Amino acid sequence: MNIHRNLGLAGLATATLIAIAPVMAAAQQTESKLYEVIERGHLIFGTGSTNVPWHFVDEKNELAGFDVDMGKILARALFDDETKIEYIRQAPDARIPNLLTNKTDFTCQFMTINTARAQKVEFTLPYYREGVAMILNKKGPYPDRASIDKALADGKKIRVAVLQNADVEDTVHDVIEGVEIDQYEEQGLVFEALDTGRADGGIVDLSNVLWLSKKFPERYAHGGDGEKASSYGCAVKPGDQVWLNFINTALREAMNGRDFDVYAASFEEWFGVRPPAPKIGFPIENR
Amino acid sequence: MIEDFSNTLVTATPFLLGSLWFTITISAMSIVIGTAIGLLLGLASAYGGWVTRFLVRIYVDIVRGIPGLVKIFTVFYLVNALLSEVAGFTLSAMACGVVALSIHASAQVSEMARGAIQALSKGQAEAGKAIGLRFWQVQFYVIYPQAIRQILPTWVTSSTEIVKGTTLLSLISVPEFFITIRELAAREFLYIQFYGFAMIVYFLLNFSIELLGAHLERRYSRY
Amino acid sequence: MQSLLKINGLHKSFGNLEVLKGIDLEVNQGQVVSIIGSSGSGKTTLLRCVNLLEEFQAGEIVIEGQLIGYRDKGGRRSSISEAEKARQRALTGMVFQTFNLFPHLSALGNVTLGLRKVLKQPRAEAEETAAHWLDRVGLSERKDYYPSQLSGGQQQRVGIARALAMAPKLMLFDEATSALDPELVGEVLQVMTDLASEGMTMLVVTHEMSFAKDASTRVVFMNEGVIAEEGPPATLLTNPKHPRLQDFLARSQR
Repeated sequence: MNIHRNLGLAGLATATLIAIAPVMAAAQQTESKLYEVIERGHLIFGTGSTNVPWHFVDEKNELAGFDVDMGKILARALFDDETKIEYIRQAPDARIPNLLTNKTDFTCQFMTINTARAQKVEFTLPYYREGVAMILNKKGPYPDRASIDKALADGKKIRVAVLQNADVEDTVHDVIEGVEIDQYEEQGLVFEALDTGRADGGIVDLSNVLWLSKKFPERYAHGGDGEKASSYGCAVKPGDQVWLNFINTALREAMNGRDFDVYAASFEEWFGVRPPAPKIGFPIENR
Repeated sequence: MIEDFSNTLVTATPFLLGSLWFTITISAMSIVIGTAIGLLLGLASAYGGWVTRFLVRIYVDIVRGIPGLVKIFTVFYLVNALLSEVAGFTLSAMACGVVALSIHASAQVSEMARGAIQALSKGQAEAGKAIGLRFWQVQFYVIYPQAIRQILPTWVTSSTEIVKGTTLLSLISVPEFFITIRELAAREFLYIQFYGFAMIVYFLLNFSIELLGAHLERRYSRY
Repeated sequence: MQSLLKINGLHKSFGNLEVLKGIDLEVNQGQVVSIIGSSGSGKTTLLRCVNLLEEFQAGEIVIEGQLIGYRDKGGRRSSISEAEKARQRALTGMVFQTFNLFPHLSALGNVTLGLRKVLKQPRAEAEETAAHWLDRVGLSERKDYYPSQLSGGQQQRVGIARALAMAPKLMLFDEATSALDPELVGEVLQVMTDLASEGMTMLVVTHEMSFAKDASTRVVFMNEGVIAEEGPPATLLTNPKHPRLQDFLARSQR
């Protein structure tokens, strides 16, 4: 068996299956998933397990992270019990097919909201707004942004590692100009390149940089942010307005209403800062 | 960093052992089921009429022509979608993994078995018949023991392939060993250490299979 | 004397090639019949038909009054089940030119396999029976040896014990000594001669004229798919009538 982790191939297989799956599942769903989940007594929640601080496995071998907390918020809204969750640990390219083939009720897995994806699944309200940033190796020759800028000014070559993506050049140049770009297939490999000195810096999600420079202050430094933002949303299988509405209600109330403390505590735990509290009076979402 | 690694390793040992056991279970089930089906298919293509031989041929060629990962995805998504439409239930991720890996193994074993059976002299089957053994008795007591002895070395190799193939199951959420490794590496940002550790564990696992194979070979090479 | 084997009008073809062109042969209880003839005369095929290792197109083979290999359904022959064929095969014991011992089983294992799986004897009883027959062919010392550890003559004696253990009504020997080194032929012929003298009914395809002459009740000469001549060994071998038999004997004496 070919054991190469050929993610391109995985993508191809997924694409084929995505094309077929909705047709096969079309006949179902006369009632809402909401009642099915309540009847079942637990939520089937798809998320990853290999990206800190979004979704990862903690020392007790339990899933933790900001995405995971979104699932817990929904479970609390459904059952008043955040443990009523069956986790499906999935690779990023399984997010959509697992929804479409009913293997998951909903998914939160640092999924960027874009219109191409919105043609396959329905997104919930965004629960985080992500940017890109540069991470630096404190033990390497360029421990801060100033040393990088100086090297570039001196005409030295600077090499940055980035996760393979469609608009990689734009992403990188949003943070820093004039560098050489190495693309990697997995987020982990980006950090590995940085650790081993194959790259002088890494361009990753801002949340990653914040979390890492907080957890390993002696290893990593925050080397500047980009300006563009993208929204992370949870997603459900399309065509079930009742279910989508319920999830949106739960998320909105966590971000702007009664359950703000739960959301804010999680936000602070994973990103190091407390989000702005909702103002009493005129509802913020109507502004 | 070394200290971080060894500390993490110690605290994560129960989970690592749990998922390693999972990997071993899935491998063993796939190898056993795949071998059983493969032996039957090999028999069918060695003795069957042209229709049977043709069908087995197609099965083997299709299965061998599809990369392992695609087989796993096909069973997990496509077969499950069909099942839920037709039969109203779906297979768990682990079951899908075992099915996909068993199918893979069955095609390999089928080819080995067919070759080994065809290489045996016609006289062996005749001698079995002459003492009054029925067809299946001839197969089980005369042909298979000799064929199995012949395919043992190749079979050991394809068994190690199955063990390696289980790493792909992390992509359909099966909690096998390699996903646990990836989770730990991602949490602690100790990629080199954990992947190196996984390399050693998989090597030891497959090395034990090869040792077992060598032992069996010695045992059955008395004649 | 009671008829044990009766063959009437046996025809057998491989595709367009007719190998047996109407064989009639009768063997009585306790008789030893040697079949001689040059290669291609059909003698081995005849033996294989009796053991149902070959299908045949016409004629009938009867062992102890029982029709073998086919069923007579209102004048039309129809095939019988695999299980029934297996049972009928066990009526005869076959000894092969190339021994065909099971290489993965010891001498004892070779003999007990049929006893345990066909006659359903318990292991202990099967091993006792097998040990008896191995002793009978002079190999009790070698019962735990694998075929590859035995000489050709010893292997063939295991083959004989394997067939005898199943208590067949009729023993078939298909050129049992032709694959052996000349110095090993004697030990196998000795076992066969002993068997003959003890009253075993035997049909023996052989090139060993000494066996045909000294141990058989009757000799059959086959030529081009038919029985060309048959009679008591003394008459047939010393006073052959058929010209091809005269040739054959002259050649085999050289």
